[in-house]
Amino acid sequence: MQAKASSAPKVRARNVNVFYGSKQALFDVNLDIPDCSVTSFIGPSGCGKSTFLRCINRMNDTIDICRVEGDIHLDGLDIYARDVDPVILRASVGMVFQKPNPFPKSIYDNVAYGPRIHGLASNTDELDGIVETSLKRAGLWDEVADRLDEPGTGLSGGQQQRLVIARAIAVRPEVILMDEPCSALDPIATAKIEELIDDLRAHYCIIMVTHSMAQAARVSQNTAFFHLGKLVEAGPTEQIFTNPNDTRTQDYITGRFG
Amino acid sequence: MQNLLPLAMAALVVLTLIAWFHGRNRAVASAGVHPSALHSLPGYSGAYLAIWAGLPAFLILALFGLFGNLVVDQLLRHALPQDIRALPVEQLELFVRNARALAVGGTASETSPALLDAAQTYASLSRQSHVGVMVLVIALTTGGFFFARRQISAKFRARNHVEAAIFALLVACSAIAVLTTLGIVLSLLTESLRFFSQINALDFLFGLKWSPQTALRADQVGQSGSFGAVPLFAGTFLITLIAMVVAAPVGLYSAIYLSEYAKPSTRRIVKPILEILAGVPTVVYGFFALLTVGPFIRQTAEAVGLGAQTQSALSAGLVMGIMIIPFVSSLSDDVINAVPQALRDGSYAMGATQAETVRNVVFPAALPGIMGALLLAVSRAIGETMIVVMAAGQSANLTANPLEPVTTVTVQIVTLLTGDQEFDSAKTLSAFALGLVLFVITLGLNIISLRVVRKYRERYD
Repeated sequence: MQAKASSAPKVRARNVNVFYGSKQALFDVNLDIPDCSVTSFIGPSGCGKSTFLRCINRMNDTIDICRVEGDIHLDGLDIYARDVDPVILRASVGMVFQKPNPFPKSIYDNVAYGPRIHGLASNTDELDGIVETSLKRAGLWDEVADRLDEPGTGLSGGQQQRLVIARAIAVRPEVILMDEPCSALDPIATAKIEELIDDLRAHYCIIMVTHSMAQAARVSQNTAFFHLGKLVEAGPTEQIFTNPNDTRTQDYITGRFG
Repeated sequence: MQNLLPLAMAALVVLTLIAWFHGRNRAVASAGVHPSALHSLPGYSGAYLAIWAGLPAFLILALFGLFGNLVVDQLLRHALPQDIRALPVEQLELFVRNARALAVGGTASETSPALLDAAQTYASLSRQSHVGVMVLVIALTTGGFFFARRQISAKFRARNHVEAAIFALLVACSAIAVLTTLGIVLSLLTESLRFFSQINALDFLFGLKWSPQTALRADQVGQSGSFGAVPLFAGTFLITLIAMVVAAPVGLYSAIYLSEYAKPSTRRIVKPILEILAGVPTVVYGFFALLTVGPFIRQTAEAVGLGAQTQSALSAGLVMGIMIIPFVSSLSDDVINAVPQALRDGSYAMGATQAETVRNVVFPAALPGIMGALLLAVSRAIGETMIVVMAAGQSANLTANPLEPVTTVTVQIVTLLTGDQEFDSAKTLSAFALGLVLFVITLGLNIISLRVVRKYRERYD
């Protein structure tokens, strides 16, 4: 079950159970996720991979009927401890969603949103700096530098998704969660996002849910396979794809590729 | 003879049903052993036959029911002896009315041999017209029936024809709405033009004194009749302003509470209760303003040393504000709910609190729709009459002091037109001019709010 990590894991999950009302969605998930790398969650629809992803920044707290049991540690700190404010946690665990969701504001205000609410910049020059760095890091700066005051909703789908990534980067997170970040994009935009993910890997712990086996193989160093709410197998991507231990993993992977 | 009409209608309905069944059976029979050979489902053939058999006759009957009496009156007028036709218009009108009353067994205000003669003529004319219409109806029904019956076959495109008829029906229905609006506008316009031929339009629009009592006799004093509408519009805007000061924040905040903070179970209870406010008749709000809010305001104002009356702009405005809270809250609640959950999730995922999310993401995204809701509430407030009649008084004060009684455009229209009025004096006609200006204002507000709402819609498509 242990993903190969050179040092202490960035995210450590032990015996995580998640319930929606009386229905159990995740069963006893144990997983270590290393820093500065990309980890993919794969599995059929409804297998619980997105649910687990949303446990890591406590987004499930916003769903009334959802209940999480077990321990998830970020850098050794229990994120479900009583004294942890989920609002603060989410500043260090950013998230990118399936469908690009820029706010109906200008490109600049979209990226500046997080720094503003967290008071990261003391003056406008500093804020300009954060916006520029974030957009550059997200590979969007060259395309939008001369129209920062135009609405973010006017960009193309791929640009919107990179804008949203820039928005997440702007609050200086340590972990970035991505919930099928390319499923609403065309192949060219997808390639750009994958390239970006590969670049970001040097600075962040990236955890990505994907339905595309090929994408998991291309961009991630570690892969975890979920099935029916259970974590079946996790390990280096190469091993999962070429020599899985579990027959279910084997079936899922080969079934897809025929 | 008068009872024939409902009977004919009932018979027509039965005939139409028979035509429907017959058409359907005929279509089925024409298909032979292969029902799939039919172009249209058998029901369409039935409907086609029913439309031809029933609709023309129905239209004739309906027209006759509506205008038959007028036609007979007209015929009677032509049949009257020369000396009676030479009477002045009013007397002739009375004569015809009496003749009709005698003919149908009602009570006439007088009788005379000439009147009895006319009544007999009326009865026979009425009989003849009924017989004529019945013959026409029977001819149309049978003609339509056999015409349509001949067409029905397996290949006949009954569905297309029936749908064309339905299309015509839809067009006719929307035409009624449009034409009615047009009629209202035209009647407002013509009456207003009559008013403006007596009173200068600029004096009306910009005059500062409203005192519509015109002199009935030349020697009356103090009945100058000045038609400056500014105090009325000032009163309207003062009360609307007070109402919006109450309704906008309360309605908006309750919408935010309901859509963002309330648990679904709470929302299920609170929202209908809030909407009950919209169901309270405005007269009842009027009582409330007059008997509860008005005296309370007067006592409070007197306690702090301000002069005040029971009837004041403030009490009317406050109560009207309460009345339009559900407008604002219900519409804003819908708009806020329409903001995609993805935007909220995006904000929460950045580490924003719920209040920050509402303030910085949800509210700006919903703002155009909320503006639309507020503008609709404003036009509701401007048009409201009953609360103001009861709570704000009827004196046309030009004041910005909410403790003084004021009056509004709608209230003045009501007072100008109720009771015995002659429809050619400037006093009465001024009501139409006021109505016209009010109509233009609310129309403008509605157009603006619809524009705003449409702009909002484009954003998320």
